[in-house]
Amino acid sequence: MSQSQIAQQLAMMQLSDSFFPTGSFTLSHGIETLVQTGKIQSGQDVKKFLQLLLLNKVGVSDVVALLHSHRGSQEGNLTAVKQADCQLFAQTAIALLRETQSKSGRALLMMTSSTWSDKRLDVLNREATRGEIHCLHPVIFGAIAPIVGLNERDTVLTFLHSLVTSILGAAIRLGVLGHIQAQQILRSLALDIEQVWSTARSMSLEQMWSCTPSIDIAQMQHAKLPQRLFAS
Amino acid sequence: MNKSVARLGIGGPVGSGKTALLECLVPMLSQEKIEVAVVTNDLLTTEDADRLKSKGFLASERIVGVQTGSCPHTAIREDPTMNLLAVKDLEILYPQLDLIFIESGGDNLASTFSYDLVDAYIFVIDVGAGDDIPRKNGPGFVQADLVVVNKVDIAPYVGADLDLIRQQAPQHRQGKPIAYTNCKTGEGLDQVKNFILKTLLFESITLSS
Repeated sequence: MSQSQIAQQLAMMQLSDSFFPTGSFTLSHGIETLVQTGKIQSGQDVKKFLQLLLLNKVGVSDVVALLHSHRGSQEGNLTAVKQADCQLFAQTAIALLRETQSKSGRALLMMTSSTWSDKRLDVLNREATRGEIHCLHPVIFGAIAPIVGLNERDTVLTFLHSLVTSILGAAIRLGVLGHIQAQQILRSLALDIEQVWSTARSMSLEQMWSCTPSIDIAQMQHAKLPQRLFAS
Repeated sequence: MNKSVARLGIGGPVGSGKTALLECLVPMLSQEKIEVAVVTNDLLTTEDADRLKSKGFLASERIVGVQTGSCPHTAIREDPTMNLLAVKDLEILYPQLDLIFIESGGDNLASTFSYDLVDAYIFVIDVGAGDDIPRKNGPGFVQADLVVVNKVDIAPYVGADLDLIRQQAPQHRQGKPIAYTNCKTGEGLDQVKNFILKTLLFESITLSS
């Protein structure tokens, strides 16, 4: 393996690691509401939740925006990055989700700018400061990935691995999952993640869609929970 | 990362008096014309942020609650990005700020702050937790820039030997400062205030005779 491939592999591991600080540990992506209301009670329920999220929401919406942002960033085309950001923002119906995605995106941009150096990061930071970009997390992830040396496929895999492990971590803290079961579920989702990559890579921004009514309602209800471990 | 406003962490176990300490310090600093804001880290509710807002000594917009996803130590150490964003937003909204407090959610003796988040931090313990706390050598107790031993008035009622704490704490702190406080009466709070003025705000202190 050449030196540049090793650097890419290490960058991939660094970004997918839960140790990479972007505040993801504060998010449950709706699972907290579903646990508190009794709709998620077991590892099997958690796995179904993740599959629905991957195939009916994130994989056909967030990942599509991520890929278009990646392509824009790769070419130095900020307009394309902003288009992906605007489209995803318009299609994210839940206000709390827009807010938490924006915070996570800003945190990711902040950490990446502290760790890597590139003019594209300076431009993104400037646009973020001016409020010209919403900084939604999937879009920022896609934009920074080519800067740290990731190709499209590795960017999608890194993003999805990070998302899934974050949700599994939340499920463990909520008490519906043990640590061994979490690892088993993570491994069992490989085919679903592969399917997301296969589908999303050929979708246009206009083709983005999502249909997860129970999860959406759970995310909307989250702010009203009497006790909350997570920000969303 | 560019820092501008001084940042002071307040950490320590649940119930040690972190919020009570803030309730005392904020008016004291405001009297000195120090512009202050607070970021609270709430574990389950917005209780701490709401409590501070209800006191009325700071505009409620200057008190921001950050939910920590059941990991209070992560939010101040391994991944303080949500706290950093809250601080950044406060700095933009209130460019005249001199000091931002970051109050951790209650945690154990091992919780410490990242110095990428704060310039210094105070670790609050209370005598109700026992007079053996200094001997336990918790990283938070040992490493903090200032330790506050709070609720000194209740020591006789909980069987805690305050003299033992006064004797042993300095040994484990290796010369770093310790203040003994009673937030109900204000005892010891001037020392905490002067620590803030001198260490974070670089103001010279005029000691009253």
